[in-house]
Amino acid sequence: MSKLLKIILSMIPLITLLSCTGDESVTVPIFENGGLLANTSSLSATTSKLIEGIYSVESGSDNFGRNVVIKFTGNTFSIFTGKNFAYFVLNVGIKDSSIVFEGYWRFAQDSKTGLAILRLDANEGGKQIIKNNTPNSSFVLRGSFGDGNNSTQNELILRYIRPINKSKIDFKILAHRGGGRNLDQLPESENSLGMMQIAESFGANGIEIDVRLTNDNVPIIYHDENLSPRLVVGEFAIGPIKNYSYAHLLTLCRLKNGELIPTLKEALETIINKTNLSVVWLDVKDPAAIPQIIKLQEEYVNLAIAAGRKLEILIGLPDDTAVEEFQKQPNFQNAASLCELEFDTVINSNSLVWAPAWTRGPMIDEVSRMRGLGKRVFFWTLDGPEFIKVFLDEGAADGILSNYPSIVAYEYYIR
Amino acid sequence: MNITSDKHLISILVVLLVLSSFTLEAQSKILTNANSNFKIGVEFGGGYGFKLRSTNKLEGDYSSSGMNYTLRLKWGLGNIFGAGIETGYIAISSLKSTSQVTPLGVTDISASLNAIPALFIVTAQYANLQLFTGLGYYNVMSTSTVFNSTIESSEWDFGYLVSLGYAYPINSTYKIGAEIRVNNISEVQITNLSAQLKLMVKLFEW
Repeated sequence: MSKLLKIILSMIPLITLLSCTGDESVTVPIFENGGLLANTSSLSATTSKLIEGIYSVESGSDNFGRNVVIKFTGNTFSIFTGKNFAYFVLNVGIKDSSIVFEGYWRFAQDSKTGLAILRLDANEGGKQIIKNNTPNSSFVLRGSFGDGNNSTQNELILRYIRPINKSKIDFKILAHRGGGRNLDQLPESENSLGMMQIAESFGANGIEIDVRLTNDNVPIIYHDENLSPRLVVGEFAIGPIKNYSYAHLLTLCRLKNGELIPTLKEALETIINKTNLSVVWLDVKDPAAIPQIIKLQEEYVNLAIAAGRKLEILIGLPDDTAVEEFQKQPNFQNAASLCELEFDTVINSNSLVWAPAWTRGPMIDEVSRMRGLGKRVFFWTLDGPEFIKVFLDEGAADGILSNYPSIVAYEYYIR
Repeated sequence: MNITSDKHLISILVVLLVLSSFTLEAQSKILTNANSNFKIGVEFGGGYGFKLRSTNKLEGDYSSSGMNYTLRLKWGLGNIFGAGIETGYIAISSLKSTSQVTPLGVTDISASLNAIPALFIVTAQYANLQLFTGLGYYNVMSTSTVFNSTIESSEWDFGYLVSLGYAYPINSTYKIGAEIRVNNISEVQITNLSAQLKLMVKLFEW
């Protein structure tokens, strides 16, 4: 018996230990004192676009595969790889006619990350790019990458092969929950303003965000029905989000990485003014929010036009209750929407986009029928690289919603 | 990988492992104690508990402790092992704060977090020592007042209990004792460690 008692007593601290949250966040590695970019001049957007392309990996292919995609995403450069589905997020600057890239790399489906540095020397293409000449195979980016805050462990050499795929359709790479999930330990919380601003660096040109309503009728961006430690930090924030006023939410809790829960207004302002995203899918989690969403959609479409931004704001209708509420609204047919339901519902709602679950397959015939009616088709939520390839091969999608937009970006642009 | 879910799963497995090892020994005792009677009893407990890991980020007079109470109906064979249901009240934490600066202005804050368990328990006893393990749900309740507006919110969350107790018989009907308890409300990552004094009353025996 005394043996048994010892086991029981020893289990109590173990159980207590296991009761800890276990939440671990991944810190994005950064160069100390701004690294080499601290004393560089900036590169124009036009010149930056010239660097985009498919590059062969002459050194570093063990980690990143034979070919990679380099894409300018508005403020930063991203590299998308086929092996390990890594992505790099790199800032850029010009120093002595050479172009310097500094930032971090990360495996999309793993928390492995580290610093990376690349340089396009003046005599290996840097000077030509700065003069706005198109690149050729003599363009070589040389540098290194490492684990954590080490950037010099492994050599990385990339040589330009060709331009990236530019298809005839305006293909949408949509990032789930504003850019990615908390589960994937990203630098910003899911559905936060910060996440929306870095979604493009993951390869997205559009985002999906979730709209709910507080008990004082403020549309906010939040995924789950309840407040929980999965999404927020705030000891006294418990239970359904619709129990809380906006003031209570702002006072009692923060998103997982410390951000405030954004309102729909703040989200749309951020998307218009701080990103180049071209589409936002407002996933209606609470149909009672639809009247306000339609008003805000109209207001912010006009603001986007005034700001010279090409931005499509789509009201996402995920179920019959949302469709019913949507169709009750006067002039609902003029409100741009995306419908996840069946053919007739898409037509009756005058939705611009049909968004079926990817698990239904590429549905070539149904997609053709939709396209014949002028509708586009976005599939959700497609994360597996092998399935993303299939959908792209079939040419079935006008857009793919994914938790890993960097994988979609690689598979799409490498074609 | 969902680290949090995995840890909770491991926790539950550990509880079941401990329980199974204990009940195996208890069962062997039953076989050697064929005269054990079937008993139904009720237990009342009261004490003080502490929340083990604070997630409070608000400034002010924060307390992660409070009174805990337990009401338990228990049945089983003799004094060896049995089952039961348990409820009670757990004061988890509270906060009072004045002139807190928020994005919407300055406000006083008053908040509290409490829980009512509804657990199915399994017990095992050797001499005067008792082990309780339980699985079930907790009704977690929050009351908060900010900007002079009060909101009450609650939800049911999965959780478990592990408890070790000592019982001293006063007579054939009453026992008194004490218990060290760990209540874990897994879904909201709340762990409460408490110590309670208790009174046990035998209702029926045959």
